Amino acid sequence: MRTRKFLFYLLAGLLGCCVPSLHPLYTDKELVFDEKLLGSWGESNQTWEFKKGEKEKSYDLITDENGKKGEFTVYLVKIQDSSKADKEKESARQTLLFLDLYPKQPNLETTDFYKFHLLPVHTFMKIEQIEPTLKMRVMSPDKLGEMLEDKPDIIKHEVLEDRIVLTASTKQLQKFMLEHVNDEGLFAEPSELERIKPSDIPVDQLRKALHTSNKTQSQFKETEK
Amino acid sequence: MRTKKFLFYLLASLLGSCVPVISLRCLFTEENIVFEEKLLGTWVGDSDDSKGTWEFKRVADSTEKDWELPPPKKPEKAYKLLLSNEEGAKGSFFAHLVKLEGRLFLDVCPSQFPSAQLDPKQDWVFNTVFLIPGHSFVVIDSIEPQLKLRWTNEDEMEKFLKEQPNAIKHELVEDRIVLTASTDALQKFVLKYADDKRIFPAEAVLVRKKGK
Repeated sequence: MRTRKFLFYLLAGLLGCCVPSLHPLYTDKELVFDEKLLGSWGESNQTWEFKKGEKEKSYDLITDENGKKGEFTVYLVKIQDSSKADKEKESARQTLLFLDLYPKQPNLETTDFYKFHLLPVHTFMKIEQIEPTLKMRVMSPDKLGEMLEDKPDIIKHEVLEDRIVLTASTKQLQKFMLEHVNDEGLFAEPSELERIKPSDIPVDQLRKALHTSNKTQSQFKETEK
Repeated sequence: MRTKKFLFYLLASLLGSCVPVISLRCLFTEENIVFEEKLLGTWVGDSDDSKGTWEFKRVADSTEKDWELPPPKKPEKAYKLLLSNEEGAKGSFFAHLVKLEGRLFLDVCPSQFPSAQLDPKQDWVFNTVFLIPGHSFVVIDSIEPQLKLRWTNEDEMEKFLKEQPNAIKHELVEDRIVLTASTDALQKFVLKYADDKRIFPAEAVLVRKKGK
């Protein structure tokens, strides 16, 4: 499947198919930082750009689809099965890697009162691999809905209109992921992004970026060399 | 003192920056909604130097149709509420007047995401996927001659829920309280604590804006 199609599925997944959570998937203990994630992924007019975030081990992610943007604080979360039996066999421990996406608030002029009414939520993407392509899966709300119909206590949640919102604690979320990550259909088919080399970016786009970001400027200079 | 607490005490008189307790669910069912014509119009703080306003319109009469969140099921019984603060910043909401055992409450919920309201080019459209519009609740003690309102406040609610954690279903999300109770449970809760200053401590008295 070509990258464009993968990318379409990825953005469509974010728009319509995410399962929001009130709580994050991580505590400080599960955070990891992988330099390989840094940089731009996708293609010239549809990109995901990861930069080092201000907070330790955090990333800033800017998604851009034909000028429509999203800006997020992202953490790479490594969770492992720490059951007693598995501790004895380190190699047998199940290790999962996720992205936890949380929206940044654009600096818009509105009342605080209005802002307080919009509740930011977390979304999780399972990372299959970072290199050579960034391969990720989003959780399927339909499959989760089926699972919850069958076993409503499988994970703490609320249903708003027809949307599932996870209200489970971080610990419960991690336990759920470890127990059910391989349940058929819970995580959708992987979306795959290719790394964008600076030379793939159109010159006019690079010029535009020069005016907006000092970091981008320095990258451009390095590219020119 | 946390910033939000500071903001609350600084500007609570016009509610422009108070930190309300947010609920995932609304306070009303179709049976509980009432509509009072006398709420329509523009209201301001009762002190001379107040510049913030509350503007109520009937959703069914609104020509703007600028909301992007689902419009109310009964637009003839819903208000479009435009709140502006002293600096002129605005927030756009849907409001429903809810009558429970003879008492009036207002359910307030955003009518737009920031991308549409404040960023016409919708540059940040993807952020909105990760925002859930929440409801907040107000006790209406009178509409005329003064619009007397009492609001929830997070800090006070936090203290209350520490003492009575089972009083209402909720989640503590970082430093925010999010009510996760059903509409039925919310109605029982606001009725039980309508006069309790721990739940509705923020008071505002508004008068009808004079002139045009």
